[in-house]
Amino acid sequence: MSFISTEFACLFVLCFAVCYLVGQRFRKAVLLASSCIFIGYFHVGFLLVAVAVALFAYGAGILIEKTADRPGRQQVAFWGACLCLVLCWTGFRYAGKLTGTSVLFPLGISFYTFQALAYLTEVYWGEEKAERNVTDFLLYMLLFLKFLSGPIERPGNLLAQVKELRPATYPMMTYGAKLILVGLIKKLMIADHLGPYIDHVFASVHEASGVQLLMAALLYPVELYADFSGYTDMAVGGALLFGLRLSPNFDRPFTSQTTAEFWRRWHISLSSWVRDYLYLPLASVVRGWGQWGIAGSLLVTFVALGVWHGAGWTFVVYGLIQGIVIVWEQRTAKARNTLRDRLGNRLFTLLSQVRTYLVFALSLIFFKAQTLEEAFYYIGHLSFRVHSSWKEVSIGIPDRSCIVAGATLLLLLVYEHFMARGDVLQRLERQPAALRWALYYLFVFVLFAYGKFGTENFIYLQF
Amino acid sequence: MKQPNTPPLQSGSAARKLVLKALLLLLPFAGIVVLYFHDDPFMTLRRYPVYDSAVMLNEEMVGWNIYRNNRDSIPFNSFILGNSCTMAFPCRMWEQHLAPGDRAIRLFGNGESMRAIYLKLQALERDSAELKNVLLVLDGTSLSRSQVQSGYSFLLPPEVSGQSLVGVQLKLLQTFALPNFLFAYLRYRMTGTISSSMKYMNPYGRIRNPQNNDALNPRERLIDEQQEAYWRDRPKEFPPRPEQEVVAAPVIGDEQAQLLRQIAALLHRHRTKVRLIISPDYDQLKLNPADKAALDHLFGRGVVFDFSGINAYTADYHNYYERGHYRPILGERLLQAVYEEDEGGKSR
Repeated sequence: MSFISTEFACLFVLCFAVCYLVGQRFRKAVLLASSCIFIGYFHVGFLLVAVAVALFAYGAGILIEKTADRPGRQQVAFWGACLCLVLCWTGFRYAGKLTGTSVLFPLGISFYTFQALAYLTEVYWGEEKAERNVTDFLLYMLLFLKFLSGPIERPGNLLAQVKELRPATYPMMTYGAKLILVGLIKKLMIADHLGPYIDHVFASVHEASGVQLLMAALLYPVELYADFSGYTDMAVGGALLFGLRLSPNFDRPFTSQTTAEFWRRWHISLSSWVRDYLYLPLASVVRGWGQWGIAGSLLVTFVALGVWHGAGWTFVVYGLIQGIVIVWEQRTAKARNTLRDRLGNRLFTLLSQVRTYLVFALSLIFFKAQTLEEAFYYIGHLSFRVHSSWKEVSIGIPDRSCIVAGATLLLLLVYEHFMARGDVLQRLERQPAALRWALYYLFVFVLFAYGKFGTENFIYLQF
Repeated sequence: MKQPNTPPLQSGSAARKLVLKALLLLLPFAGIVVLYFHDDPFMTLRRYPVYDSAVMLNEEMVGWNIYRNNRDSIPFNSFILGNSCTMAFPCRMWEQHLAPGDRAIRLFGNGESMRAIYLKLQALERDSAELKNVLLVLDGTSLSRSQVQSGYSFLLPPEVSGQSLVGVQLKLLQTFALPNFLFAYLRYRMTGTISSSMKYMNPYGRIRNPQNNDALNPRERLIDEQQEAYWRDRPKEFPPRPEQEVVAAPVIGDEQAQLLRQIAALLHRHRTKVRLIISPDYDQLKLNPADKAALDHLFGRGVVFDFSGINAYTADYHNYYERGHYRPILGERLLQAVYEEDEGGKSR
């Protein structure tokens, strides 16, 4: 059941209606039941695994808290619980690869495992109290709006809200509805118009011309962003309708001037997770090693971030590239500042943004390729060469899709530019009703007429 | 999101207000949906005895529906598949080169892809159709297309593609809602007239045979009326051609070869007598010899007939309606060339 399926629309509307009909007392139960239906609809096994992991984390949290006065035991409980969670996750992730058989990979497991690890760590550090209400905890772990692809929620944010679940106010609801529309526009008018053609090039690397490889590599970050941030907007918007505020996951990543900045703006819930629970503890352990310690921690952290995405060397290299570039950026900060003075701020900013985008696009070749050999072949054959005509530049994207995706991307950039200067969606609320409604009709109509329906997949579902 | 300053409504009334406004927002779209289901502009919601309309219909669906309409009364065993150039091969004309009693139908698609051809053959196989003869009419572009293209005119019937009926109808509904389409359609519905600017509308009336989907091309009538002026007055449709033959780049890659192999295997399973015609395009671009060799290898010798390039068939511009399509008078010559050997063999 994808976010853009009829089944999901029915479940969402039903859940919304029942939530507001039954009143405050049963609202959590309705949300939890909807979440279980949502997960179980994919496969009952997915629901069983998710509930088992959630109950395990629930029990482990209480145990960690109870052993707080005996540090040795607490350490064993914490590390043992983390090890179990990681083993369960890696077991599902690598079982298929290691045994050569097809083992069912539970949807969302990477996200909720990391969420459980965050919870246990917070309890272990004494930042959060262990949750005693099993319904609240299950809802925190399984909430259907963020179950499949995050955001990876910290207990301090979502669990606290779940405990004090309040109905959404009208402004929250309209804001959420607008975010859902923005997400749908990103997904259906950019990602899905580009996706099939980029996939086709990546699926036939050896037949594609140099210019086709180049175009697919350059467009893939746009597709990935539109797909994933579109999903996130729908998740955040949907949660707002139920009175829950999920964490932001993107903050105009393509305006980043460095890869380090990029990772503060891209998949924020994951990058901040690895920063807080992996990089900072690691860096504090090796702080005596000076710069080498920081560099080593960064590399380990980003390799882990890469491996989080999937089993295989391609993801290791994907993470490693990010780590190496960030280390390089740290080492060359002075030189880059000198260059900024020489070139002027505007030109330097633009060039830095382009450089950051290209580095990310290059690393995504490893992210998307099936094998390392394929990725290296891909990079080795990037060029402006065509097989027969310059029409190959379009990688087969029909003119109509080019226009729809291009115009929407432009609109998205403008929207994000103004979002950075103040919340556009809230400012819209203050406009005259006629203007607002004209815009709502326009966007819904454009989505209805030009959105590419029929693809229910999101790229990050596979993780 | 910052907490807005407006006073919160009670949750129930907030939800009611949101639902009411959402319904208000969706009201015009509900109107479009109702009109779509009422009018069935693409003739895909209900069955019809004759598939001709003021709307440019999806040929993939029309062909399949004509086949379904007639399969119980006409024992079809011969199928013309390929792109819109199949219009040069009327079924009656082809049947003259087949065994007595063989009955043909044209199941073509505009800008047909190899994938669509394969899916149709699979659908015919599932339908237990007798695949005795197949005439494939292709060109380099069709051969290069390993995926079904996007757009309403390339949508395959759900029975053929395996897509859900809802998914297909959703795409058609979406096309119906396109401003280009919707406004032209509403104008036609109100005035009953079709102007040349109405891109998705069919001003020619009846254009296909309801039994075998043969094309009744309105341009033939124009040619009869205008004679030589037909070609003389359309310089944009008949641009100058190269003096030296240009060979196209190869188009059959791994993916295309795999599809062709599957098509050949399916036809071989049915012992189908296949003839594959590479169209004599007006542009005289020669199919790459590597592609011809690949086709010969996959389908066997004596099956593939390449009429592309500069030759006796492409030389005369009178054989063309415009640069994309040729006439049945040329189709007849091609069939004679294709079946010359067989018929010679028969007479011998």
